[in-house]
Amino acid sequence: MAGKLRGRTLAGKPPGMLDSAMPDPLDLRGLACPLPVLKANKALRAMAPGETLVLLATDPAAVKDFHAYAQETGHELLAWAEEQGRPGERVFRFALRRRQEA
Amino acid sequence: MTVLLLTHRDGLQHDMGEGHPECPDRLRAVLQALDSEEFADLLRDEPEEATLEQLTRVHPADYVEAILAIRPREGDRIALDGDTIMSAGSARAALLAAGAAVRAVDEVCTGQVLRAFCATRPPGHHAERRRPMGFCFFSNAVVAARHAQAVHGLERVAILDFDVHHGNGTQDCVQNDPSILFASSQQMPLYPGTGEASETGVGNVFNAPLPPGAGGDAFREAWEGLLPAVEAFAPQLVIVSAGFDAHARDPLAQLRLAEPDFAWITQQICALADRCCGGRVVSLLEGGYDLAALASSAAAHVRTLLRS
Repeated sequence: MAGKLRGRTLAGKPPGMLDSAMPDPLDLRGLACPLPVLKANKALRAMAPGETLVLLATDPAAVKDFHAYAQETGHELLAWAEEQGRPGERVFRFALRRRQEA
Repeated sequence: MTVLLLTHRDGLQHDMGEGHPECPDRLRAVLQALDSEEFADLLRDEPEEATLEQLTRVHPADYVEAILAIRPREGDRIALDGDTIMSAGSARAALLAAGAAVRAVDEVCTGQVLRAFCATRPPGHHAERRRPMGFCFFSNAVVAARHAQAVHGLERVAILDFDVHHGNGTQDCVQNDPSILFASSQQMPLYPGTGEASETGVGNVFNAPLPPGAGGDAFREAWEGLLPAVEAFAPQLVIVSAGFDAHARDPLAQLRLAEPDFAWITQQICALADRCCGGRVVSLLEGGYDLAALASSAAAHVRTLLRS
């Protein structure tokens, strides 16, 4: 929702409060290992150092996979949590921050 | 405990446009949560607009007049910066938010109630003496503090701010005023970019920055560091800038608090107020942009105001 407003701030102006809005999460629900990690890795590599990627996944193995991924790559797993999904569905939300050096 | 809830339906008339996170639904969500049976003991009333005299204890008169002169026609909007936008109902909503803070001080300082919570918008803690910023127009918390001093004769007032963004406006208004203490936790780096521990005012400002991703443990540790300084100041009234955007679900920041953390800080503040100033706490809604997290966190806050 707030992500739509990101373009509003004019170039050269100091960043505003809306610029810190999280974009919509990358939706990796329904994908099984290793696809969530591969797709997250691709998205992170397109981002600037220090930027945060938020994603949703439904594969319970993603919890272990993203911890291992962060350990191996040096990207930081800021947070993860299990969220309420549809009945019978487990949804996990992850926030990964791209490491500083390229 | 007697706790007063101040809110006004005209707070819904401040509309910064579709998709803006500081939206009327925030107020609806908070009020809906406070409508449940467990809050039946809350006293409820509507505030009046703050007066020019009350506002100019903080902001220069020409600033207040300039803001109030911006009255877009119904359906129009005027952006003061990329974040902070006025609609037809904005000036009145801003006056009611400041007026609620003033009224809360009156009720608490005269002993009519022990504590008060203002469910109001726009928020105030980014508004500097002469600059609107970050969804804020008037410094509701400092207007309240100066009112307590001018009308109720208090000498020392503390403003405690746990909104995830730094209360740069509050700090701007009080940093040269040793009669008001400002203590604040915030995510850094994050908007507005201030709030380093090295920003200390005239010894009356205490900042505790937290890194992105920090959770409840780091938050509690930060406040365990701040609260002794507040207690040493011996405030005669505690004003809270209660923002709930440090919640893990918030879309504008990256801290990881949950409802029990907001209950904890509220309990700590009430216990401090009980020791320093007969329990007097005036709490003002600041940020919080995930509607469900805002509602449940504000409910945890008010529940704790009622019970502790």
